[in-house]
Amino acid sequence: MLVALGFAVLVLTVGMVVLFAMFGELSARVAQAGGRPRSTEVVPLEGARLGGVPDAWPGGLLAGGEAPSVLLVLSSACGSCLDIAGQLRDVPAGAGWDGMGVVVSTSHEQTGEEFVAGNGIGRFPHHVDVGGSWVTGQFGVNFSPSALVFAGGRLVAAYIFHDVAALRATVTGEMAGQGLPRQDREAV
Amino acid sequence: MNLIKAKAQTVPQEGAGRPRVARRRFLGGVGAGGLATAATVFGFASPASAHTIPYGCCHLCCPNSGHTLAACESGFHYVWQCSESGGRTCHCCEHKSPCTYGCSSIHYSVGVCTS
Repeated sequence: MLVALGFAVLVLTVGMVVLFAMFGELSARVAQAGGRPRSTEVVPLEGARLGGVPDAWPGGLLAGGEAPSVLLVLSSACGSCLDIAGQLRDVPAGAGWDGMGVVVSTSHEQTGEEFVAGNGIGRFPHHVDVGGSWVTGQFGVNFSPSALVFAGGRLVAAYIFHDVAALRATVTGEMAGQGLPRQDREAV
Repeated sequence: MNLIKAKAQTVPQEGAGRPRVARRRFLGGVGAGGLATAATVFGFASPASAHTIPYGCCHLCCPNSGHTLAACESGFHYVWQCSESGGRTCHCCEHKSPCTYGCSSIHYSVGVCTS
């Protein structure tokens, strides 16, 4: 009798803990989704210094010594960027985007590192950009989520996006079909 | 004679104490197990997320501070722009280090959104 009562209490306790954990997880996912459908629009980012070549690439962005061809600019202060990070996290290992790197603009190194670790960005070439000083100083970009496209180390296009697959389709399609993204051809 | 009586009375009481102690230990184990489970499930939240909430497309530590964007952008601060999926743009400003050192009159965040 006593053992049965204790077992029932144990089951109820574990059940309550699991129930609240599920509520917490659900709450976190709803907050990230924002209750709004994700836009697949990829639009040019105004104000970026097209044609610019960076003085130097941060070491974390160089994969095998090569500079990235596409740089995703995220920020630890940007809620939309959490959704982008979630999309990147869902990309299966080995099915990544060759030549893609991630810059995380942040107020403090520790906050940026927590953003990288908490969102699984460490498996991509990445750079924690304190104050956003590198990406703003080199390319005039202080906006997220955005993507910078490079050809021969030169910035040829900059986009605002909210869907990684849509961005990838836009970038790879334009670069494969035309040699340069449309935005650069218009600017040059 | 009295001693024999007293001994005879105490024996059943000692026997009844054993299940009581066992019950206490068992229920204590159940409570400790519950606490350990709760600590395991809930103990892994990052410190920053404890006081971080979304505002527009911003991810703000210590929001609703009553400060303006201009006040936030004075002194040591970090400001960044973001866009929501619906097209609204926001300025997200952190004054000092609210995500690291918690909320105070100098460690706060401000978000301002325009459509």
